Amino acid sequence: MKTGVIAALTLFVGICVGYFGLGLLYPYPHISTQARQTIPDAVVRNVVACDLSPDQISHLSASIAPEVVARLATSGLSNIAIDPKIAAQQRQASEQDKAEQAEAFTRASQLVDQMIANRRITPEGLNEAHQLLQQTNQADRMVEISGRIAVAVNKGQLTPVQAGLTMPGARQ
Amino acid sequence: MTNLNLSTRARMLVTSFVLSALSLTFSATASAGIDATPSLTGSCYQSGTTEVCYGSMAGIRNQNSDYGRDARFGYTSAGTSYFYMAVNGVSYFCYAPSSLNDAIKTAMAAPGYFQVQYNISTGTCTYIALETGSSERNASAL
Repeated sequence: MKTGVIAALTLFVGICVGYFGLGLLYPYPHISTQARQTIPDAVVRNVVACDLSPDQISHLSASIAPEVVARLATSGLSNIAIDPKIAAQQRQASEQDKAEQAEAFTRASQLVDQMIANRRITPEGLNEAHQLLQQTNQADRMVEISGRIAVAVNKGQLTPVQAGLTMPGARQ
Repeated sequence: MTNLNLSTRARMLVTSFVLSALSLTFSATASAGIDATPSLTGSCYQSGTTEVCYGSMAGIRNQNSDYGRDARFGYTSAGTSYFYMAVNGVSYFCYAPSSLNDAIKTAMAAPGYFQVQYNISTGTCTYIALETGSSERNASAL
């Protein structure tokens, strides 16, 4: 009987120590289990602020709970494709853009090379080359093409006037 | 000296005054600040794969040794900005990337010293330095 009481007391003390002692080991003992299950808006906003690629979003949407995905989508991710099909479409569009950019750059380069060959660089030709690049969001690459004109001038293949430098008194 | 009349003495006195004033004026001019015009008449040299051109607009304009020497910065609506210089019949020309557009625009109105570097194989300007000091101000006033 005595042994049974001592065993029961020991068990009780163990339970108490375990219950209160574990609380010290967790960083947020004051947050209830229910509160932890709810995603606060601030946390959602932080998640939304992360820069995730379409691939990463697709991976997340496939691997985490649908409710969480839905919550993220309604919290500002609605403009980002989280559907794998949409992500695939976006990838395809991106590849198409790259192809269009490459084609436009080639055309602009050919245009300038042709003008160099004709020994006549015209503002119209330069504008056309610039527009081709501008329409495909690569206007910054104009210098790569126009640099060819500079090289031709420096090598004596074009005169400054042929290169389109219209300054008064320029050598022919 | 005792034989000289008063009028001659007065003339000598005035002449010595004038000569003293002139010598003071010339000595003041000689001790003025540095005029860097001779060193800013424009030049280019190659350094590895880079061409370096430097000078000042006024220095180039005022030099007499090379009639065709010329330097200019330009900007077009076709999205191109450039630097051009001619020294002793040789052209030095580069187009600037958009990151240097502002520097090119500033250089167009800058009165002082400039230095432009460009990649010889691509014809792309890689560096622009502008500096205005009292020496260049002297040069531009010439």
